[in-house]
Amino acid sequence: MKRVVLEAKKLSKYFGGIKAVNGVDLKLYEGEIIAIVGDNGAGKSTLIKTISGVYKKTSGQIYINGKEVDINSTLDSRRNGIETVYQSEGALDSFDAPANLFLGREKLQNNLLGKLFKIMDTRYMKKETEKMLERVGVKLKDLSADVSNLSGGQRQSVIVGRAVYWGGKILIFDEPTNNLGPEQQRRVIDLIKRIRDEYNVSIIVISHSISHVFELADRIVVLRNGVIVGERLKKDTNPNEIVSIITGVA
Amino acid sequence: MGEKNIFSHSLQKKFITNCSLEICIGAMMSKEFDFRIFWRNYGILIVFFIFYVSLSFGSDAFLTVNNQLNILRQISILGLISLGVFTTLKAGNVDLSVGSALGFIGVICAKVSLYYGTAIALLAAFSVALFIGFLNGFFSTRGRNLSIMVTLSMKFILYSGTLVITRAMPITGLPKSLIFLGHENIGPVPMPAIVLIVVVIIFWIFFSYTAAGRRVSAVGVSDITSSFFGISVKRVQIYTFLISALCAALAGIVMVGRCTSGQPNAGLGAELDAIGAVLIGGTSLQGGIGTVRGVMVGVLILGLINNGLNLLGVDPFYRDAVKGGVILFAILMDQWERKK
Repeated sequence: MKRVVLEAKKLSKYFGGIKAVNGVDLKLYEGEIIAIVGDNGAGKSTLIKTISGVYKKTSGQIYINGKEVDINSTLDSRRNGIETVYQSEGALDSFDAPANLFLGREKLQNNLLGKLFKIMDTRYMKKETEKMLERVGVKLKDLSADVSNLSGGQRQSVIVGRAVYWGGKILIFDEPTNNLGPEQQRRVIDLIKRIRDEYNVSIIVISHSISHVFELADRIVVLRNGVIVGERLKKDTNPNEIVSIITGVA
Repeated sequence: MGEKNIFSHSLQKKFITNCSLEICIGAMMSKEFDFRIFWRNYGILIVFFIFYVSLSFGSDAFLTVNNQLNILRQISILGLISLGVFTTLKAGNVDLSVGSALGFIGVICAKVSLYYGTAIALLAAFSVALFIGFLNGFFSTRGRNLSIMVTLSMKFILYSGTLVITRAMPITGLPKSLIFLGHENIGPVPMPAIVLIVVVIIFWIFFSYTAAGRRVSAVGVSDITSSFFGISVKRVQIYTFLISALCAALAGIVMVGRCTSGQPNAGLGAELDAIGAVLIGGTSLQGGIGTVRGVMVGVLILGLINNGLNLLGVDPFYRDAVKGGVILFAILMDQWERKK
């Protein structure tokens, strides 16, 4: 049996009287990709936002590598090796790739200028970005081009590369294939799998697309009304069964 | 006006043709010439250039060293508060209180200097500025898009405060050291111009090279993304209001020097000129977009309108209409640029 890297116990998130996530038990094993699926409003997004610290949990516990952790902000989750990869909000479109990679964690110059005035070391950041992009298999013509000028797949690579660069051991993907053309979707799926293989990270994916889920995930977790209503290993199930669990039609 | 225009007319023409040719050729040499991108990069500079050149032709008094320095003196106060407004806009807010803050801080500074001297007066000015900036920032970050209303209220409150302190009468008899920043020259260069240039350089470095400056833009582009990336959005935004208020304080002190007194109506309505300058310079009201360079060109254009129309003998009642027209033009061009 593989090691459990992330475990949620009775995790809940209420917005006023609405129980968006209600007592969810979830385990994520090392090197595993799980997909969380469910209809609109099933609580997928709320669940991962609670795990990644965007929302404060109402009750329940989160364990990382068997140790209980207190996650109250995105910084907390990051400190525990959780990196969340958002689709549209994952990058600042009017910033270039290096600025995006180092946003919020800018590398300062290692001298008086850096210490006194927080002057950034742009050369270092550029070099590191080049290395990072090489690792995720992207070559950019112009590093200083705004991210909005990149293709959807390149943009996604920058976002994913960022998560890996900062040493994320648990990556959470929120709709990674949304708003992309078929060719780009293919590449993003390959990228996610490759990253899992190369860096032995564990991955949670949220997706609407059942076919992508079946390509990516080892295990599929179905949410409905904030509760887990089904959990299947990919090899034991088929798309029809998953869809019927999602919709609740037996 | 005994000075002669420093360029002869033939020289002027040569200068203009050379400069414009250089810009155009430089742009067209690149293979994918796109007028939109060209306009985004140089449009506002071209407008400035056209203003500048037509004024040089239109008035002999315009292109004199004296008048150029005069323009710098005239725009210094607008420049300072525009940079403040720009900083708040960069982070997705707007500070409408800078004009009144300028006046309020100015009269406080003047009043305090009468009793406690210049040093304490300056200290008071900057402390009050920080307090105003903090209130603006604190209340503006209680929800989304509150800054317009919060800073508008602040504008009224501060103006009232100015009237209460001054009883609508100028405060005079100020110590010489206090009016130094606004009144003196170093060589031929007026102090206010030097203050503005130093501040512009600081802002330019801040936004181009520092982590803090980059975060201000990030927050303006998307507060959601920024918070996902661990940036404390509210704190950054409060800082921008502090910066804006400090700019207003500096402008207020310069203003006191220029008037050699604390004027109750100083800075009244200046925030609108500042917003106009910032918009002309290509800063987006949605936040995040805009450069210090653009702001300064915007400020210069407004400065030219004020100074030049005077020299051309245009009826001053038309001046605001020209300003309005230029702002409208800048915004329409901006919309056109953004269209895909």
